[in-house]
Amino acid sequence: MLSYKLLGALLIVAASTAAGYRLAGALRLRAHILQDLVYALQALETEVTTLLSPLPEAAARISQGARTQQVAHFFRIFGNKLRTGQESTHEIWVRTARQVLGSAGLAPEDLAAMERLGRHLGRSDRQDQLKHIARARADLEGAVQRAREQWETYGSLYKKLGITAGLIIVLLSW
Amino acid sequence: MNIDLILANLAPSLRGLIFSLPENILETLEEIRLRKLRPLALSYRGKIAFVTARGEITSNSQEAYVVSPEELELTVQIISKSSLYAFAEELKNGFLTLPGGHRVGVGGRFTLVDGKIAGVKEIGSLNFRLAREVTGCTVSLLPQLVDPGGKPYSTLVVSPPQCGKTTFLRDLAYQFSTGAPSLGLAGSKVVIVDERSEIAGVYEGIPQMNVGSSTDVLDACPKAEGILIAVRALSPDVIITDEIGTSRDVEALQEAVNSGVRVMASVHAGSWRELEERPSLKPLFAESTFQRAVLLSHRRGPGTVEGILRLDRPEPEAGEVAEGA
Repeated sequence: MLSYKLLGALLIVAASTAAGYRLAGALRLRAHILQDLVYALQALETEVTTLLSPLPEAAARISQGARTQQVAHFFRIFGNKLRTGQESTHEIWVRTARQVLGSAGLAPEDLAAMERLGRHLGRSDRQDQLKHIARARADLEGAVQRAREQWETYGSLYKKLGITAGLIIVLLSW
Repeated sequence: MNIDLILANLAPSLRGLIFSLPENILETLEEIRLRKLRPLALSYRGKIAFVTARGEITSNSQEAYVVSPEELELTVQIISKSSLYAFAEELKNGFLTLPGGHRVGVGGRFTLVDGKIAGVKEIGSLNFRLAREVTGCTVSLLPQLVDPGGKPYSTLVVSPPQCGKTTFLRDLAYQFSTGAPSLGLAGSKVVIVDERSEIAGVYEGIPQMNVGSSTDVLDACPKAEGILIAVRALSPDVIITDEIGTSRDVEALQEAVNSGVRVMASVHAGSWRELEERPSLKPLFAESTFQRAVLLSHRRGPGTVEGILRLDRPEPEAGEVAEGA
């Protein structure tokens, strides 16, 4: 009987610890994706203002160079949809950002910086493009900073809370 | 000509409308004109017409389908690969070249930096100009354009706009480059100085028109500079360029001829008399830079040959018109 109770207690502690780690992991992933987006926009800036690559080609290359799966996926889908010529660049950019990056845990304010960029992307000359990409990059750098702080503050807290909550439940129900 | 290739550049809604036009109109289509919030227009066989919302032809602009700002914008996005910044240099000249060698003329607000055109903002209209390739259209005239030694005569092609000058030059490039053994014409090294990308229609480095296997193209290169570069760097037998007009063009052509190169060029003019009165072109006739002139008109469709003048005699006269096509 005691062994069953012990097994149950272990399971409860393991589950709540995993939940704590998952929450901490989501914070870390958000910071990683945002950092990767900053790198991607740096690459986009070079593609657009120095190499003058058309967006579908630039997006394909950025996708290959991305460090996170989510950013690679975002640029791959964006580039592929651009080639079909069915919708405006802005619509494709915004929808893909919401689908891919939004579902990966980016906050609405993170997406807003990306969406603002989408309104201008590809629609003006080099100098103007540079201005908009640089602005989005600066906004995202701010978001990276905030995401890191959250991760550092709450990451270990969530982990500890997970274990503690499991232990409390076990103790209360013993 | 592959009509799908040009229609693929239009916003999907416009693509469908044009595609549902009768076959005989599609085959003779010369231009498709999109103007923001104005009727969808096109020209075929020298006529202007409008397209209705049901994809039919009308001469009444009131019945025509009106192009929306979104349709124009999506079309701009497609032709610029969603990247206007990448085509800034081409846009300064007012047009882009498309796959297939077709061209899109752009209307909008041109921006200036230090008095020079820096780009186009707020694109308000697009003119798709369909390039035609009529390989063989000059074959029947070739015997008159080749000297007894089997070398091409330097030839000037003269006509009002839309009479097939560029098509004519393009086929000359092909014929001289490939050669015509039956005429004793060996293949020559041809250089096309294609300032407006119209003759060879180069897209991503490859001529989209059949301009022959021994032809080099200086794409988007200013004529006068291009002619001199060609003479210096590419040892051509023949240089082909279109729409000459300035004194610098004339000087460069003379320089090429003096270097032993044969030149083919076109010029806008309604008549021979009009041409001779243009001050910048006078040296061409004074020094017999060209040995032959081909006069084209639209009388029996584009490319109607009205006559071939011999310019290497002292006094070319109307009576010396050699032959109509």
